[in-house]
Amino acid sequence: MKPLSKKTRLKLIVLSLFVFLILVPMVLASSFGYRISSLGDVLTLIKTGGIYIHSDINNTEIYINDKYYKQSGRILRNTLISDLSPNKTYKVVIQKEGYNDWRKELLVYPSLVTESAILMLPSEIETEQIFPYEDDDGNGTTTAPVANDVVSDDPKGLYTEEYFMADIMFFDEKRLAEFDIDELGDDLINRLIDSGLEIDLIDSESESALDTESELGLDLADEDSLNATSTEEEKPDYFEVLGLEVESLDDLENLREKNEQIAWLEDGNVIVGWRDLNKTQHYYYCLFSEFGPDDEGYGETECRTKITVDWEDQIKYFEFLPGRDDVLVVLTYSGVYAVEIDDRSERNIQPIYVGEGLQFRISDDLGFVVKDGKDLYRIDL
Amino acid sequence: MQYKDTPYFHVAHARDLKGKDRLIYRLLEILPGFLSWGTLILIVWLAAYKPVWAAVFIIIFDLYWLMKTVNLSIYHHHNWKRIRHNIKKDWRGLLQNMRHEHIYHLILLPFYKEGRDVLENTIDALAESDYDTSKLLLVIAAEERAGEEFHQIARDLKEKYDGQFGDILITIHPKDIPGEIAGKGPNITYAAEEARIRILDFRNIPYENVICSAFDVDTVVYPKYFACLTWHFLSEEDPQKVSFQPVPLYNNNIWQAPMLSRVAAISSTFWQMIQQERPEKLVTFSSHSIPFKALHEVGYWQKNMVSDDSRIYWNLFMANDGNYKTIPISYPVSMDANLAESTWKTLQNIYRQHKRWMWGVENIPYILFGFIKNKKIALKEKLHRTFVQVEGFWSLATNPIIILLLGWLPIVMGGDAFRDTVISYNLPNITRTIVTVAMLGLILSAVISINLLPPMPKEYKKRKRRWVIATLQWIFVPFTILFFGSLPGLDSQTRLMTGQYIGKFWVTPKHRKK
Repeated sequence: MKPLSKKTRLKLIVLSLFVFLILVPMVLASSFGYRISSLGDVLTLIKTGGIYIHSDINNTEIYINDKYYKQSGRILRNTLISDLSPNKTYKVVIQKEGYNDWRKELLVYPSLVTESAILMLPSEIETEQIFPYEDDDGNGTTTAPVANDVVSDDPKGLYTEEYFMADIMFFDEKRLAEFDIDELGDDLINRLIDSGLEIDLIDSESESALDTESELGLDLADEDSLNATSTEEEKPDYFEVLGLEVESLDDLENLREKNEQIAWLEDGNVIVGWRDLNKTQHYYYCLFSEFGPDDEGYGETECRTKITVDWEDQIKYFEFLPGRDDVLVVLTYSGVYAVEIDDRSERNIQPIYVGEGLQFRISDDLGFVVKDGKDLYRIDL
Repeated sequence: MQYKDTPYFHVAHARDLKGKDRLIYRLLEILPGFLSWGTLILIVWLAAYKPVWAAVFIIIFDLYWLMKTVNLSIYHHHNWKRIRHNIKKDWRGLLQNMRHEHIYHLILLPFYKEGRDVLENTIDALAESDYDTSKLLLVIAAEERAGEEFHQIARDLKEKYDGQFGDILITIHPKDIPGEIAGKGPNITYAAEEARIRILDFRNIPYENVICSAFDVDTVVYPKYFACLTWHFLSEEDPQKVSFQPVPLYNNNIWQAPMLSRVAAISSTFWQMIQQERPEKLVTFSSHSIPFKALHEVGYWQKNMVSDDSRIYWNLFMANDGNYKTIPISYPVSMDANLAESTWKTLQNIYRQHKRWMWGVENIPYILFGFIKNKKIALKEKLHRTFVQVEGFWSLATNPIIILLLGWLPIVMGGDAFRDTVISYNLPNITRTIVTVAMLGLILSAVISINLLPPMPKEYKKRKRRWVIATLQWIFVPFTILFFGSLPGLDSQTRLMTGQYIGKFWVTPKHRKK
């Protein structure tokens, strides 16, 4: 038996070269999004685009223009929808039983992929009441073991620790000032200190509030905010980028910071800004100003530095949704809602807790807590 | 003046030359590393500044690699059939039809500090050859620097096997000879010359009737090796212009070796099997056989460099003005897979061994310099050989890195504008798909490897599990080609490029579990 002859090997090489030469343009064209499309009777080559959907939920059903497209994976939750005809707006709907639908209209550009991230909260959000007291069996109860007036004004260990810690998040400076630190007692102060609770105290401008914080030995305000407050020197560059005319960040109402974004309340709306233009802005800040890639294969983009999350009613308070920097939780007169920052089409808004006269706070230790009247509820998202 | 008489015939490195020749040789030493690093740096640069170009290059390269893999798999499969065919073939029967009694086999067994059991295993197989063993002239080539203990082993073995071969000669290669590295090349050259004087000349055996086999000390020949070799020798039109290359199987201790060692060892076998189907790319490697007359004419193996096994082919190629080739006999010899006291030590040894093999890149400047100097070799031959050799070392060092690591680079380094493009999303999918399709060839590899394995020792327990592992071990190929292919390849080329020559032959320890 002889080695493969030169002739046989040459045939193999020629065949391989032939296949290679056919595959290269096909695969490259496919990689760039080129597809053959029929325009009437004429076949033409078009540059398609795509949509990439970031998802934190698995096994969702994806619909494009009301047609079922596919189910996202159990592990690979993100989905690339490719081969979409360019310069068209696609209605994307994502559904999963037990969750709110997510809808978005996204414009697809030739050779480019439009990104988006879903916001799908459970349709029935679980709440758990945080009881102020415990009965003799250790079960939570709203019935005070002693007279209410004594308890509410002098919570020396009569509230459960969890309730007290949650409740104190909702204290404003007036309520906090009512505390006589000397009367709180070492035990309660130690409990507060031991908890390591970081509470953001809104409108904490008064001297008395800050004094109280320092007396308590607690970091009651956002660390970055405090740094900014105490820094009266040079303003950071992003003041100019964001067009901020205040002296310090402390002058901004309900200031929140998450990664490279800062957000604050202004005239009942939330303004979200990108403070470091040296870092990549999130996709929803940028819009393609013209169709089609340039010579380098990219699209020309225009990126904003600020996005306004406006609302029909006034937004009274907001936070970033835990684990997300593209979704806000806002408090309005009618309830607590999650809302996308992404405004490329109508925002997805999903209710978390509906009702009037609510408040909510989010902390690392206690999670998401809503105050409804005098009752506190932990929200499990 | 014939080329073999020139001062650069036995050059090892640029420092052995002077003036313009030295400069040219040095530049040629830089070339392989320059090409490999240049490729990798270019891809990184493209990924950062021209990510679309980088993506296009990577996709085209992936497709090229897929086509190459398909071709190599076909060669591999064909050679597997040839090996099985040649193992079964009645070579002695074939020899009956031709005059062969005048052919002698000079067998050089260089050893350093390997154990007696390793040598006995090798010599036992020689003694049990299905061939007239009176035609086998055995040289046990010891090293003075190994010490008396090992010289005694050689003497004991001579006594033990006395009368079972045509002759047994013990040579002790003197240590610290100026101009020689500590390595196999000087030892076998010394042994060959001693054998010429003390056996061939003494017994008036014509050199042209002798085939010299230089075996690594752990080489266990299959029974028909010498019959097969003799047949190939006698069947050649000009037998003095050819070397003979068997297929090294690393089967001696394969069941004792850890999984990664097995994959690395069998992968090396597979590469040699593929080369057997491309004779124009085949050079002598490890255990090989050469006509003694041709060997003697070029002064045997070079004594001043590490890659003596492949260099001897290029010496002969240059000396014969390109009229020299290696015949793939597609008949196996069995050797040791890397095995040390611990898995970690084994992995270190595999890396060192592969680095030594990859140090064969030191032949590139020798070949190209020879092509410049030797005007008698046809230009077409020079260009073909240059491409084959340079592309070969470049591929070994860069291809696994490009395929397995750099496919993602444009996405990581390409910036936001690139990340928004369809091609950035498609690149990982396409790369993954092409690599997966190419890796389907691993199924063929697993089948062939199972077929080439020796029987599992009877005392082994959990036999089914071992067989399953021996099949599934192939999923580690991406790891082994990267860590035992690309990295030692780049390491060697970088050393050559920067003039940090490997000046000592690292002897792979032969360790077998009792």
